Amino acid sequence: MAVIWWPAFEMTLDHAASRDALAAFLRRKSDARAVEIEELHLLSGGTLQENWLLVARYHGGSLDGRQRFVLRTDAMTKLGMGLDRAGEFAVLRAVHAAGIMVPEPILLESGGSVIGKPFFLTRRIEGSALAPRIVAGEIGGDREALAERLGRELARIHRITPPRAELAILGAPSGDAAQTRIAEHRRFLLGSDEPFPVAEWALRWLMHHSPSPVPPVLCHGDFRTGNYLVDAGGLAAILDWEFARWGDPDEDIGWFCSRCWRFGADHREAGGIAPRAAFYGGYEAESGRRIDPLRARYWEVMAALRRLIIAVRQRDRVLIGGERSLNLALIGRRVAECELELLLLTEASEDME
Amino acid sequence: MRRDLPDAARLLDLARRLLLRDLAPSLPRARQGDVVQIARAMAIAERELLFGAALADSCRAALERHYGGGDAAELMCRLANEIRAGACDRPGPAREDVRRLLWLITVQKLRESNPDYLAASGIL
Repeated sequence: MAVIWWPAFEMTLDHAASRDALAAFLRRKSDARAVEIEELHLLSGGTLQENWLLVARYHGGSLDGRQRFVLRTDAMTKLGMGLDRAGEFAVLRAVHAAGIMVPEPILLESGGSVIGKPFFLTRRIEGSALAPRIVAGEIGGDREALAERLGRELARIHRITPPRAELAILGAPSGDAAQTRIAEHRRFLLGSDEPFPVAEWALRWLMHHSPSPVPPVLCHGDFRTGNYLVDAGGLAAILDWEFARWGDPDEDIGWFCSRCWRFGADHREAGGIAPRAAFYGGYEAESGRRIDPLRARYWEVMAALRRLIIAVRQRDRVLIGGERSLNLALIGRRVAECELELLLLTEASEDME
Repeated sequence: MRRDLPDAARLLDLARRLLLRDLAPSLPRARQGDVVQIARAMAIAERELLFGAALADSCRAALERHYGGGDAAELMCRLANEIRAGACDRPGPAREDVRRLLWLITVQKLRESNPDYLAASGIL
């Protein structure tokens, strides 16, 4: 099954031994005389990974003084999807070097010898990624301007194309991103003991309506409200790169606009924050490429199916992996929402044919 | 044995209202998301108690009508397998029958899990 249980992860990071090991590691990795951990606490959000605020006091060396980092590490159980921390760190370094708005990557510990599991540090950027507050317009400034800015940033990400030595971790791109996704989803459904007839229905639709392949670009893979940071001035950073891959740029667009990521603000089709036109406008202006609504619609069907599969896997972290997370358990009850969306989208598409 | 009243669904309803109306405002903002999750879990449990087996029974009945009888779990597997094999690909009455069945099952699941989502989709 997809869920992987990591017993070693029962030790939490705020355990004194972890803090001491972390402080010693930071000192070894710097030219400081000493490093003290002043603050270490789990940040809210993040069902796939844990993000910890880490405030460290460096004594001497190039980082002398108080440094604020985010420590990103695996959750207790893993989904069995996406990049590991070393892979995500490599992507983060590459996109940071390309000038994409991301937190500065600082260092990676991939061996798991310091805190019992791999982790990396990034510079802490102030702001919030809390989707309900962004969707409600409480934070992030003008929502249409934010959507336009997000469209532009996504277009800049999509300018990164293979081959790139620093992104070797992503492997070779597939010739047809849609067929690759279909094969992944089919594998999941074939391997499941539980029947998902609506998912099977959607998969058939996806097989019969797949768009012509386009040259691959770097896709964020989870570009949505909740995975970007905002401050009073608008967009502050794009977060959570664990699903980055070479793919079809319209997959990111479909994912962003998918109803499952509008957080109840269904009428604002671009991530629950603005009409599609604002997001599309920013993307098109930056990329010079017009978004084809039919292709975007195709990838929204794929998004709903992918979301359904992720919801099942998240739920299984509770049912099989043993995590005691109400949030993960409730995600399992969202499967029917994805199913309804799949029925609505595929039916609307057939009505147009 | 007859249980004392109120029943579990009513208790959950009252507990959820207390949580949302009286407790939530006194909790820090960082815990408001937890409150929403707890209230959502309570609401699902309450609806499951209220509906009992009625929704599952209607799905089972629809599957039995479609296939002419059989175990519901096995019929769901059969439905998934038939769709996977392409048996419902061709436009026509058979495809539309299956589509209606999928709609019915999905709507019934949402009546328990998230009726607001149905309402927001224009489905009552």
